[in-house]
Amino acid sequence: MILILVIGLGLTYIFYLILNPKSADKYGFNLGPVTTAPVSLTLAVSSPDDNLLTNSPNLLISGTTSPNSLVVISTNDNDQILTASGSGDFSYTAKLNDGANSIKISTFDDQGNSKNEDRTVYYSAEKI
Amino acid sequence: MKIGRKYQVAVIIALLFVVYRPLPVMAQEATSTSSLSTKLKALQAEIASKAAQLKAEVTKKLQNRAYIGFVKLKSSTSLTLATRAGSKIVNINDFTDFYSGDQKTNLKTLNTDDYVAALGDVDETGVLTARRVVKLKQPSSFDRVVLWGYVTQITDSTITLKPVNNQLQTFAVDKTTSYQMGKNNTDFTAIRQNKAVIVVGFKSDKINKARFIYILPYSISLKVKNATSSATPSAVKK
Repeated sequence: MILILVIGLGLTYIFYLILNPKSADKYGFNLGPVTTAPVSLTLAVSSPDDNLLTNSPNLLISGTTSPNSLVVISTNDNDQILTASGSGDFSYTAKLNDGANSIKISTFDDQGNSKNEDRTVYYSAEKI
Repeated sequence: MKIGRKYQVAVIIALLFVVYRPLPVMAQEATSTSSLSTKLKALQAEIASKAAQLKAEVTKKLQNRAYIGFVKLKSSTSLTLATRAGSKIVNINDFTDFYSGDQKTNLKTLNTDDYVAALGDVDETGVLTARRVVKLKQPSSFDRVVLWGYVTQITDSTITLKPVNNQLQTFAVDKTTSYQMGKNNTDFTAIRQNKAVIVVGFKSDKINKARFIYILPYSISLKVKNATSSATPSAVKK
């Protein structure tokens, strides 16, 4: 009788283990990945579109890069340094010159790696 | 009544089986035909709305565009421009205005290698139909660079830096060069050897020119080498 009980409990325990797998073995090590891949530098400029014709002298330059990276926005006459937010967002309103404006957006990480994007924007006060 | 051992074993095994057997999935109720039809119509309406939105966005992106570059080919109906993004075709017609700066002119005054801006709308093939073509003054330099590097040498009028995976770059500085460290403006004296900087400048055949230098808060601990015939210059700040 006792033997049957012990066998029954043993079978119960086996069924329990099969239906409830643990993520850690008896030493407490996680069986999943223990490292994450390093985050590589990224840059995506959402505004402005390239080859834009605009009637406004104020141009929104915005996008996303790696969190807390340095962003350099260089226009015809001006250079601006920004720090991206913790989520990688950045945004700056630039003053355009009349006519052709060449804009360079660059981002850098601590190791000096960089990503660049160029935009050409034409500003005309007159609606063409 | 005394229950047999075999019977007890059978009960225990049966109990175990009952407890750990997976539960059957309950069948879902059938949806009525009319509610399915309503849902389908709603889905179609949503898809049509999204398609219209997408079309409006694409149309917006193609309107009010400017191709800026050098004239490579010219005909009575089109121009081919060499732009930063490659070769672009511009259609011109009787409604296209031509300007040189602020002065109205005509197609005949445009020549090969003129620097122009063609303004209009772009079609789905990337061809711009120009409402206006403006002849522009050529900028002094197209080669604007933004470089990160460590300062290896400083003189009264130049700094040399070592960018990542790149050759040493020397930039001339003058009174028009601006400097910033953190959020504060500073000056040339704030630059130190082995400091990391970001330089915005212009490349040229003779010497690069720095327009803006941003001094980063960190440096590297490089040992200064004496001047040799190798690529590494002696790092001396005068």
